Amino acid sequence: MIRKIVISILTSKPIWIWGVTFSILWLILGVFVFSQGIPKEFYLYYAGVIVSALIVWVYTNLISNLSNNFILSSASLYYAFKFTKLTPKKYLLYYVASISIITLIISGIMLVLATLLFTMRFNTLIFPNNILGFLGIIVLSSIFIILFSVLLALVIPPKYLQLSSLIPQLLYFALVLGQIFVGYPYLITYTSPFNDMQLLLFQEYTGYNPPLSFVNPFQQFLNPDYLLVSLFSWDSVLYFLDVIFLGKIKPRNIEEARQF
Amino acid sequence: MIKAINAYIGYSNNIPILRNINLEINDNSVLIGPNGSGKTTFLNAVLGFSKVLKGKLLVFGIEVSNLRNFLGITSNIVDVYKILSVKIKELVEIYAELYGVDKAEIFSTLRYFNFNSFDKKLHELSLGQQKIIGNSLALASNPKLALLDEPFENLDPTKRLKLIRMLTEFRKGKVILTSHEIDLVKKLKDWNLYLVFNGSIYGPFRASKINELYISKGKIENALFVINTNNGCFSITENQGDLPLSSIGDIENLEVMLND
Repeated sequence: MIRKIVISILTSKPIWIWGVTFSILWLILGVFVFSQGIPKEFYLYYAGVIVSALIVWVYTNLISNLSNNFILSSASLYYAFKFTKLTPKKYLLYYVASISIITLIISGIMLVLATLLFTMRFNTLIFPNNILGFLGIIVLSSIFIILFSVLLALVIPPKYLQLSSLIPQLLYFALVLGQIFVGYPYLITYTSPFNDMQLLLFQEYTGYNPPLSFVNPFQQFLNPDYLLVSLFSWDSVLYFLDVIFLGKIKPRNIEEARQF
Repeated sequence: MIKAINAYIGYSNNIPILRNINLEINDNSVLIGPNGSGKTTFLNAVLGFSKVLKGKLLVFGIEVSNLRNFLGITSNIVDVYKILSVKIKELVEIYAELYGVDKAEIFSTLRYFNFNSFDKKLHELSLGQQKIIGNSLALASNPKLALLDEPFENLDPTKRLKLIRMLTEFRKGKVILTSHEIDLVKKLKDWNLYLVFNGSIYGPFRASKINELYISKGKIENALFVINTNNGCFSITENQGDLPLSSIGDIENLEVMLND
């Protein structure tokens, strides 16, 4: 089942076109256009911001695509939970494992590309400070991705199908880009799972403590342990909610998704 | 197997499509009736896709809403087999695993219907091929009860005959199917026949006795059933009447023929 889920998602064009290719374009811009005048001692720091933000962008697109898929398969899921061996817990576990593999593959591609391009641009090896920690955060993030996608799919009526794509992207722009370009208070930054993912990836990539805001990066810092606890808590709460909601899933009329 | 007690069944609250249904089905049965009469709604109620608004509907002694991971009921509705967008070969493997059956059995049933598009996805198949997938998954998954909604629809004449042969030789469990084609149903000689008109279910009759059943316009004394439709009522009688039931061909023609 896991292998089939992985193949099914990895052969989905929107993820590669809108998620990965779009991120690679921004990576190229980040490496060759926006990096003018970066002092040598900030090469890794700069690369960390770009790579972490772009990887979370790919994740955001994964959430949109996955929740669309879940909405479209609500009748099959309802049937499967009633008349086959599949249980909501098993289903979530299959998906958590599958999405972990997918995020590791996609993040691996991004990481290799980023290493090649930044190393080429800065003439020095730019590589994650703690690769194992980086991969660990990817797995923890993938759990959030799948659980959040399922929740979105279960609470959004098919009539508003587009919201399942819009909500994750709006959250990404407001929270991740907002934190990078504007900055938010501690409470918002710690409790936002999107920021948790990006800042933890940044921390493992660079080895620096993430700042409260990238506008003034050396004034106030965040405690990575709190970010980790926050992301872990999101994963736990969402798992609990998803199991309950999946158990009560109802077949939904996809025709309602039509706008006219 | 299935017991309905004063059951009102529909899709939205307070608008029943089937009204006051009282029946007990323990054998292979055909629900025959025109489009919109409520046949599919009844099968959907057994699967939980339509609601029991009032009364009771028991499946193997259990209320439909209480069924969870109940192995033994299968359906040919293609929408329930859309859990993942994968090739048919993989889809069969997934459902064999979920139903806990040998995938070879499903593959051999598909080959019996000359199906060989295993490398295509469900949405890439013609309606007839999709029907073959639904029928095969439902019949080859060791069901105690297979629910087949319009199983002959979109099949070519040869495959219809193959399906009839398979149904008449099917011994693993029981089958309930819906159809509006009397010509085909006549071939299922030792099956029970229920007529579905305008939200009511009449029967059972033995399909082997179909040649002895007649339909007459209006209310006739000693009729087996008087059936009310939007265009007036007609009676089902034995051995004499206006029109032999078996001569109708397609139940959709009934009202036209009676009004001629």
